[in-house]
Amino acid sequence: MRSIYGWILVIIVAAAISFYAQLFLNPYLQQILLYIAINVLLATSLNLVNGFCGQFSLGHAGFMAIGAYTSAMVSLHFQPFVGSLEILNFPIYAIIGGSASALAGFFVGIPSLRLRGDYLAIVTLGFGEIIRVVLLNLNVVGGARGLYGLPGKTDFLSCFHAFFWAGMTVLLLWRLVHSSFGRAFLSVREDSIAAECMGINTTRVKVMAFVISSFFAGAAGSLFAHATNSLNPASFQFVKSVDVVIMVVLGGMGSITGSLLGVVLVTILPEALRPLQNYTHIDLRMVIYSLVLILMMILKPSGLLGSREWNQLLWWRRKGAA
Amino acid sequence: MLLKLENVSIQFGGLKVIESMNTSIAQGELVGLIGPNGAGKTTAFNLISGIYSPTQGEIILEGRSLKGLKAFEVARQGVIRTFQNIRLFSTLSVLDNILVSMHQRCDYGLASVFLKLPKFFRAEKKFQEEAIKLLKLFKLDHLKDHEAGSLPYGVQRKIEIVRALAGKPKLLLLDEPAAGMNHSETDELMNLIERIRKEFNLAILLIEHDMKLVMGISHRLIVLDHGEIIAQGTPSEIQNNPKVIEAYLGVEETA
Repeated sequence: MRSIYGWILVIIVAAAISFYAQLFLNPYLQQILLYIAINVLLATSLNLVNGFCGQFSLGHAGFMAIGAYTSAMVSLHFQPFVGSLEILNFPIYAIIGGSASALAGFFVGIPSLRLRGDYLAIVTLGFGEIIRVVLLNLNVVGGARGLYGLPGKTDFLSCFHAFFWAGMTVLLLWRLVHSSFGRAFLSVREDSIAAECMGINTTRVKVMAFVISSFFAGAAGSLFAHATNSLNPASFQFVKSVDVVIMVVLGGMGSITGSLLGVVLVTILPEALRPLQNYTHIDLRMVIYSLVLILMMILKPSGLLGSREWNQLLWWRRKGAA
Repeated sequence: MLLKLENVSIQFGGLKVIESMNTSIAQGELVGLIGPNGAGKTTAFNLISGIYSPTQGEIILEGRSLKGLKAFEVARQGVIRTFQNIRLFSTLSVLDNILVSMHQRCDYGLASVFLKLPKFFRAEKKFQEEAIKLLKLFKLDHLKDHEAGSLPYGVQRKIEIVRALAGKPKLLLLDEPAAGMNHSETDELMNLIERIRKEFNLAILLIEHDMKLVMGISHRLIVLDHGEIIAQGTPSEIQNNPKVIEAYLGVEETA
């Protein structure tokens, strides 16, 4: 029965956010809120590989692109539900997009996860670029013009759908990292030789983390495709991967709570600083954004929360553990 | 015989680190592996635990060759080691360090994790209880929630042994378990090692530099020098072996 509580919480939170968005927010803010949901999927799933498993991947935009384009192409040709049930198409698209991306993650992961550190970062970066360039040159998916007229709305149900995915991702990854598999991920990060000598199949564990992470990146791509109703390879440039890495690093590698914090800050900060232009007449946003990151790296390189989660932030728990 | 080494050699480039090593370890036996610095003791450990694979020869566990098996497969066959320079998962809690070793026996899949099926709770509960039981044996259970890397050196060494035990080894390889410990700590540790050997019916292969200690505890000793076994036998035999004395003390030059 305990397994139900998490799901109930996810539904309540997703519904509450969606109600709030529909009642009080203008379309512009609703859009930002949707991006937060999508970024939650991206950041928490990247954290699984980069933070928990200690493998530095820079290819998240590539996996997102695979999910986005697969989901978009499917949605143009396959609409099992019509009318008022239309919303039920979108979970199907997201699952298909995620699965396509997971499959790609499997085939990319097996050879490249033998590498570590900078080498893995370069390979995954290369993978992301390959995907983008391929999409750019594939006429079937619109090439550089991109894809237009994808189904998807910004009504209550769509918002609920996006936040349900966000909540589900957090819930599932939370459960995963608090299981024997999670400990295996951490052991690989801490000392892969020792992990291997304790009977951990480190290759398998790394590929597993990579595939699960790719699935959620693909699902995020699907949500993105149907939130913007159009796709363009330019949305999946290297910078997109870096943005996700920044969210993870800013919040704290190996902390799901930290990733959520990172998502909210990195998504909202540039938007919140927009009015500043009225006073300064020049765009200082990126300057401030980079200053924040530089200061962060100097003052607290482990990220805002380090590897602590919400339940370890309460002072009495910390005192007990120290 | 539990473990048998047949003509095991390893070569790095032109350097022969271990040369045709022949030995065996019986069930429940405590064997000391000694030798001067650079004799190849740790390399022998790396060979047995599957980190290196021998360039020649075979390592046989319970009649089955370990040839071609990766380190994690060797560990799952029941050969588990500790490290000379402690390799704990330092940012994890003591309990989690031990639970990592039990992952190989984890019988639930991802579905049980994601849906929190009863199977998940049953297995987790069993693992935790087992881990705490092991920690109690070493009187470390009060430290279970501490970060492993923050604990004193001697305690970390013990945690490493507990972590190895959690993997249910048949053969436990201990690489200088008493290094950096004082006399009373060492004595306590040796009693403990003897106790776990009896309790779990383990074979133990032990690298140790403290001669008094290793002579006192071992049933049998293997002496390595320059990658070759120069002597094997009971502690008293080894003590009087001229080759061993030569390896450790050198010979007087005769003019």
